[in-house]
Amino acid sequence: MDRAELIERLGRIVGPANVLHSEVDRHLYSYDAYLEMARPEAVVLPGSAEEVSRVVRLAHEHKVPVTGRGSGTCLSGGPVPIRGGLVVAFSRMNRILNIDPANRVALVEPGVITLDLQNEVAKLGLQYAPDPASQKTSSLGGNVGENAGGPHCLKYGVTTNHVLGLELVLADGRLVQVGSPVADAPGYDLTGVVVGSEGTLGLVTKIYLRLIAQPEAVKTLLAIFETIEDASNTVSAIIAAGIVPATLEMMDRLVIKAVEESVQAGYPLDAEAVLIIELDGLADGLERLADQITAICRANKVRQVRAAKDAAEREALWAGRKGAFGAVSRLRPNYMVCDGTVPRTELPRVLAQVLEVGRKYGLAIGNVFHAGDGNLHPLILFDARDPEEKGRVMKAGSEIMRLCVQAGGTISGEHGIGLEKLAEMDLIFSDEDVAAMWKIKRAFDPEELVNPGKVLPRPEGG
Amino acid sequence: MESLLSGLLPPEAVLSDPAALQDLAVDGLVPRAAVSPGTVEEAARVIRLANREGWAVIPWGGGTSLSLGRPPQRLDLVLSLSRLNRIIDLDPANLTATVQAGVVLSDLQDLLAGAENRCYFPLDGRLKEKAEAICSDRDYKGVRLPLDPPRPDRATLGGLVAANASGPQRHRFGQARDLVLGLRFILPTGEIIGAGGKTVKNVSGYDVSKLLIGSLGSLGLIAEMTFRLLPLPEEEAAWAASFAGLDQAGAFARELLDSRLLPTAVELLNRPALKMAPSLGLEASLGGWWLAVGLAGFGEEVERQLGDLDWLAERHEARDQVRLEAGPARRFWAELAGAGRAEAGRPPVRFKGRFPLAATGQVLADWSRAVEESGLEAVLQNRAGLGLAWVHLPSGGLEEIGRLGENLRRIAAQAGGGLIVEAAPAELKDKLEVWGPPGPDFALMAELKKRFDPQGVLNPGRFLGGL
Repeated sequence: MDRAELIERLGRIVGPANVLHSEVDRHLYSYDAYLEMARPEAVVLPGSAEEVSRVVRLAHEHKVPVTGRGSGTCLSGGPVPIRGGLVVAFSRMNRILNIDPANRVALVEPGVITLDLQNEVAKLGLQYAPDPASQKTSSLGGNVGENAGGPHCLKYGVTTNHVLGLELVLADGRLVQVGSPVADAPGYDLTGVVVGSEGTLGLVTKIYLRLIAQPEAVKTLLAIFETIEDASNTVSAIIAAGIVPATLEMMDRLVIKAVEESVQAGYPLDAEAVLIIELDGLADGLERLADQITAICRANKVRQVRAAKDAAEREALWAGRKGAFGAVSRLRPNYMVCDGTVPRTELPRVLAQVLEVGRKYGLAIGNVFHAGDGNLHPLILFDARDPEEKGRVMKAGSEIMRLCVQAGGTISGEHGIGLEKLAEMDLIFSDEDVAAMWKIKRAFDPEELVNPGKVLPRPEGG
Repeated sequence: MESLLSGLLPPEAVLSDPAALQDLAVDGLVPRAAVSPGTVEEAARVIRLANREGWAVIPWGGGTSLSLGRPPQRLDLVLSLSRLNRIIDLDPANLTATVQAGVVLSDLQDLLAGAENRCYFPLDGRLKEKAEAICSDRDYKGVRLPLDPPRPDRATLGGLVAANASGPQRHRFGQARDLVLGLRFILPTGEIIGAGGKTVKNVSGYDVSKLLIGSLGSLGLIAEMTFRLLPLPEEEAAWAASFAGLDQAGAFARELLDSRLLPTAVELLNRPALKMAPSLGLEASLGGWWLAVGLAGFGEEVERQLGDLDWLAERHEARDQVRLEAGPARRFWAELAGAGRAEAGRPPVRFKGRFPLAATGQVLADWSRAVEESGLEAVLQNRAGLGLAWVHLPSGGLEEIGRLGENLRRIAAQAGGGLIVEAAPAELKDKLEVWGPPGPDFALMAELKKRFDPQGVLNPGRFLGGL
């Protein structure tokens, strides 16, 4: 089937207006927030699960690859159609189908923006806990694909801990439900495998999400430090005190400066590091906990501990943290975010090594990370128009991943493997390990038509 | 068979005495031999041999969940995990522990409770660790794995992960699915596979661990696991109250669950369950249903919640209420975990229902009526925040119990859920489909089983739909 015929037949399924195929459109859907690009043959904007199923069935018939796409905020190349074919973009499938407070379940389409759902359920005194920094633009389907994290995952767990079931379109166009909004469906935990599979096992068309009660009280502290060592030691000391806060986030000087210039969150420009520490739960005991944390900060030579006085101040503190990636992008034309994760006790040591890598390659590296769960996000600044500098960035990124693995950690905490880290999979997995993953891939997608070329490095045989 | 196994393992690790093998029967099927490998590599060699020879293997941890599942199609070899019982890594400061599959839960908890997690090595001005540790001045220490399945004194971690077993505390802390960060397992074809790691966040490749958790050893033999841990709480307590009937107890539970309180467990129980929990001191005569709540956290948190529970109880006309401090509370939960344990003479019968949370009141009412009409004595136990309930039948004829099971299943299905036979003699399992009917995603599951276990080596026939 030639391209014109494919486009024509797709138009009959979703309506011609919902098939994009101009040069500009194909370019617009060729990239995400990572560095690689590849153009699709056409972009399809389905309006329902049935349409997705028919599109995929057509693609399957003609062995055309399909790649799902949410909001394109992926940091590892997940939605980039590296083998061409179709991009199925879920921007029209953005309905919240049901919020069921009595059963503590929400049913949504994959194109729903994370924050939109969070705002809706908040009206009922409920919350959907995972809060990736991109929540204003990221889609829930994308969150499911990448098993997104976020600051509050320290206490509440990542996306997979909040997904109860899924409806997905398989490679041959079959529509199936896996998991269930009712607990303990018998059988293998297919939901658990699909979450975090980066859209390579099927196209998710509906998502059942767990809702939980909002905490009675929240307390947000900003601790300002003169040195990065003091901030690191504070993190170690909080953990040693047996405290698992709702969030424990760290930012260094470079990031603080960028954030202040763009969103004015109220961070002091001359500090070397800040911690955002949030506590939540019952009001009783929260003050003592906050006092305890303040005392720990003081023992570690904190300059100042500020408590957000009201919701507006709290919002401002978080706006800074959540806007950090965007703010840093103002400093240089490009940046690369690394996403290494280490056992949290290794964090200070690995942080020091990361700074050393920056010096070695002559690169500016900013640090903003989830200190409580050992998830680092070094931001390497550069200019992609300078191929020599870009080369150094790639080397530095790879070296940082190796440092994380050497410290007992892994190469991706929440951004995924995608295209970015295919080559590094062998740092943590044997050929047999990868072969076991291929068995899963083949069970779902025997002909490798769904988001091909991602996550799993070749060769298939172990 | 014996000579092939003897070629792989030392003589003391192979059991072929017919009398001893009788004790390892699963649903009446007696294995031809049993082995207890001492290393993961030894276990992998046994599995590879079984795959070559076409033997059916049942992995055996503490034997506490062997009643779960359909009767096996075949059984040649029992693979005991009893010698794979090493603690590989305790890292209380990182809040993780890595253990082999044969470690017994209570042994691990004892170790964790004494593990020092208050100290760290601070950094100096050059980002290097100082030689001298700093320790927090909190006066309690230790960590725990927040899993409380029945029989912690016997259940092995490998077994409870394979069965995805949990207990009342699942209400707050989740189940094995939420607590396993990574595992190593042996494929039915003999390869040793690693999945996940020891970090809390991990999206590096597929989350293969999830497939193994709760797969009842039908896709691989779990050899090692890494768990996330929590610090021990400063304070613990339990609270219980009895009510005139299900309506009152249920209304209380709903209000509690809709509140901002953060209990660790909320169990709704019928009167016969009181017999299982003598340490409560509640009088069985006082009410038809009762409710037990677990609390943990800072002292202020626990105290405040106890106060709120008393106040709520008054509004809902509780007949009697009781508070238990940490020690007695733990004793009470242990008693409750033994609910409905078999009386000597026949294997226990236990049904587990699953239904939408909002249907809890209706299902429990219909279930109580069905139990009453059957004339059987049954303990009813509802994990009130999760939409799960158990019926334990310590006595009674299998015929009546079978009929009751069908009724209970119909009621749960009408509510949008289902019923699993968690424990029963083989003849009852033959009558009642243990897992209920497979869903529309069964074809995918069958495809996975075929690709992981093409020869049907591990636990053939025991899982959903005969996988």
